[in-house]
Amino acid sequence: MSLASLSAEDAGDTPAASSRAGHAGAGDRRRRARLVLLALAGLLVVVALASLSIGAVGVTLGDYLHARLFGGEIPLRDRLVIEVIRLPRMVLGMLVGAGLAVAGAVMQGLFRNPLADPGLIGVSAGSSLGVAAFIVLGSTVLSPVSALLGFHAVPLAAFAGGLAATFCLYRLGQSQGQTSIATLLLAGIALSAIVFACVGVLIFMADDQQIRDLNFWQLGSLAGATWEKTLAAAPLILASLAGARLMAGGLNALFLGEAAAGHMGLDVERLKTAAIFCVAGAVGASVAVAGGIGFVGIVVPHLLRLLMGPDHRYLLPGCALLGASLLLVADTVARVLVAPAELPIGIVMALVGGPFFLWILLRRKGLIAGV
Amino acid sequence: MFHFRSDEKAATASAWTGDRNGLAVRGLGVTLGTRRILHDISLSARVGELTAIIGPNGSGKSTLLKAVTGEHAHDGEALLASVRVSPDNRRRLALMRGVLAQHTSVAFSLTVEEVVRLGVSVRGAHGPDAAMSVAEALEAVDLSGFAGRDYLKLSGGEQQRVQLARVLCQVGAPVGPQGPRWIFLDEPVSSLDIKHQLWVMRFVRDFAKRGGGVVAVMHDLNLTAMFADQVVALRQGRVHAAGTPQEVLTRALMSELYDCDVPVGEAPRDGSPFVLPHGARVSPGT
Repeated sequence: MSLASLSAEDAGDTPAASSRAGHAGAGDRRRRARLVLLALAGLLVVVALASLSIGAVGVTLGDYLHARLFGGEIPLRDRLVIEVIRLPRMVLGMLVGAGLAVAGAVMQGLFRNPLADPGLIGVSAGSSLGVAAFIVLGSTVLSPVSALLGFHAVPLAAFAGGLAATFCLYRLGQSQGQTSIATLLLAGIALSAIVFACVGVLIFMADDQQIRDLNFWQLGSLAGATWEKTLAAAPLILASLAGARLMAGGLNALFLGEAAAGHMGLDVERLKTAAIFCVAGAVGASVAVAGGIGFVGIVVPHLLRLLMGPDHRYLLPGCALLGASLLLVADTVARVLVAPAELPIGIVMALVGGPFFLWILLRRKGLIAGV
Repeated sequence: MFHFRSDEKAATASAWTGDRNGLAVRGLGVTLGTRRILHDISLSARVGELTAIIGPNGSGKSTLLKAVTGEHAHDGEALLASVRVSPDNRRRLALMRGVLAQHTSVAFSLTVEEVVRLGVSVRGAHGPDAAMSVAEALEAVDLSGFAGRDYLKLSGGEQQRVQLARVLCQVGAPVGPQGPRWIFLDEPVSSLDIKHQLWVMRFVRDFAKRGGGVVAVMHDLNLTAMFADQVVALRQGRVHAAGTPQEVLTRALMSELYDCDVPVGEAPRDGSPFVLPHGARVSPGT
């Protein structure tokens, strides 16, 4: 209840209040944040249309739309390329990008540290163990589970793995309300090592086809996106996005630390639990369908904080929009760079995100040294 | 540990303090880890007054403030205006009182206005029970014109005043439709220059005079003497003395409390005590 009450306000948002507060303040930043959100929405539309039109096979989107909307002839091949290959891939890419970026922002708000990225500190690793277990054991030991849950089984397994990892990290990284990013990173290294050992055991047990599946999935790719995969990931990711938006006010209160947020009436424990579920849901589902795509969760929130400030009421929707756009761009680049073959998108994101992360480190060395 | 039903709790509180609006603490203890920090603390603080908590380092002042604001779990009883201080009542308490910690770290690069506005968000900016506006609060802490500044680039004293402004926004008026409001402060002025020490102390005393309640952990004995209506002295986790500044801030009591000779004089203007530690003897030890 306190979450809602903290997020419901938009205090002093009237022009009168803003002008009384001395002009140059946060009012301008909020106005700018709204403009940035609008621009990001526009960008996403453009990028989405581009990702539908661009690809190894030349299909004119205009012809397709015209044929579908007003009736007309279009080659079956073109129709299938759009509807069966590119459209699910576009939707999946948007979901994964939005999920990863928002999960990053939520995690950074929760840990009160702009460097906390689900990929860096081992949440994705936890999820990947769940997925690997299903790839290798799905038809044998875990077959009752897959029979019960159908195509939702893999995302849910990834969710469970991510959840376990996030709870561990929270226990390890948190002491007296402060998070040490050094502890988090070290805990992430240890968790990842444990996970890779377990994945190693699974690989040892796997047959050739399973090893190929594992390997390709680990690189991170939207290739092989189907409507089934998209539907499997969508509920978890959409629920996490909605949950994150409800937490915006609470995450804002956490700017001041857990004690002060508590004094302001926030149920901090409930917020933390909700945030952890949210991160695990978005990351787990993304990892399940798209493998290890790194740096989205750190690049997108960081850029947006520079553009619109850290207010989560704007930051989280912004992350969803920009994350979706970024992933679509990266995926389109991955598809056309070496067409007709394609690069795994995880490689593209690492090539872009890695240097970006180093740039953040150069700019803000104190972030690690200070805590 | 006591478990009362809520109506019994209320009755007990009023019987204990004679003031249903006050802060009533009885038999309160706090254990952190395996260490018992506070033992059997009983005290009452009234609205209309500034209650100062003093004592040497490690005597449990901050712990006491954290216990009565619900940050630390405690045994015994703490009631604020008959509302039990516990996590279950966090929302109700948030509307009744604001808390300023000794240090508040801000995680991201926020403007001063954004920090203060977080206080507004507790109560909302509109309606009969509206929060104090950001501009008013900044004026109250002598930071008008700072709204657009980057919080992280302010000095420590300025940051502390911004946080106080945030608390003031949360608290709103000294008396609201549901009764008096409270401010709890942990060493509010220790990082401030002398002008702003006086500025802030005057503001919070005025808040009390207008019908609110103020509880402040204080290090500066002279400011305590000047502004407090009631002084509670803690030593080794227990209440050592409580009363008016005249009663508590005596040379004998202060020397005992701080384990060091503390000469206390009488201010020529109004006869209130003052501490002038020139020539005081300090011996090593506890």
